[in-house]
Amino acid sequence: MTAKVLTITSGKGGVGKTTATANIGVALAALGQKVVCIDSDIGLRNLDVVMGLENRIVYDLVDVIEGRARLRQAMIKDKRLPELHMIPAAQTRDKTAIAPSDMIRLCDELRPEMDWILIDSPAGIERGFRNAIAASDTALIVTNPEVSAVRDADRIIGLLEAEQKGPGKLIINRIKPELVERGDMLDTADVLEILAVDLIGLIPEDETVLISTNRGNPAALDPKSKAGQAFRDIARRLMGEDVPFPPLNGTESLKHRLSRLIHPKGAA
Amino acid sequence: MSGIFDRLTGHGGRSSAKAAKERLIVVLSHDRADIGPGLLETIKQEIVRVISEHIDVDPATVEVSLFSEGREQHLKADIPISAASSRRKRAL
Repeated sequence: MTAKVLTITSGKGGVGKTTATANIGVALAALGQKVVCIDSDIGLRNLDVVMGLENRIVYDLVDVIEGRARLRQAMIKDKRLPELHMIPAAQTRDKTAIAPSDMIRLCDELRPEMDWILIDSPAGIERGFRNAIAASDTALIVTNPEVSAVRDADRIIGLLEAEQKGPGKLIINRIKPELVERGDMLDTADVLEILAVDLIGLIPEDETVLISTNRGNPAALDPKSKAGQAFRDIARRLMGEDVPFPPLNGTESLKHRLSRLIHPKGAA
Repeated sequence: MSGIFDRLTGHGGRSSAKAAKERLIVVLSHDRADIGPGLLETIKQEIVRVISEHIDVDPATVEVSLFSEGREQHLKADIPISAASSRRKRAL
């Protein structure tokens, strides 16, 4: 077994990196894959609460790197999915507590035991980002369909290319189909044209994400959640399956547009 | 595709998404090439100065801009040659 290392990154904060990490991790583990999710946001630990594992932390990433704990001791096993693990970030330290070489060493130790290593990157382009991409095989760039998030995603794509970690794959999160439909939100084609990068996921804005995060049960565990389904689709694409992108503003939108085209006055 | 629909349905001009896209295309060209509007203006003035040594150009009509093809950046200079300078070229 040789794990593939995925870094989930974005540049901008608050676009859904941690949510994406938790949900893709859950979705891959649900497919029977051995997964470890690593929170590399030292000082701003959050993956633990999003995954609902906050009460089980004994050791953290910095404890492992500084030799106070063995990897096995810091790796929390998820009771819902036996193949899912999480290594929490340290909460009382900062990004300088680890170096890119530490992440490479850590991932080299994990690779033989896992199928996937998911690294949740902190926001920004400084040390924390460098740590998060050091061992990365593929970067998943999370963005939202709005100007600041797309601009920051572009910066990240450029930095990944410069570090020869590119080009990465794009996840567009928090899409509001009704806004796209009335021309007040960038659509998928716009974002892809602007960023010129491959797409791997389209996640609709979905309140089940907030609700499931409140409970510490990632939406990918909820078969009825639309966002959860979108994350499960990403997991299948990562596994090499050719999963079509279901139209979010889909058939209704096209019908709506066609009807406006055919009956322009009636629809206006 | 959506552009055609927008135009046909009269949505194009008022769409804020379209404004977002246009603004992003410009700002990302500058970001990627690390050429700000100030540097672009300096480059334009230099081009005008060099070209003006040979032919007449009206600086007001010269356009120097950045555009992207995929993730590759291009610098484009559009320099209209005035009728007067064409005549002068022939005279020389």
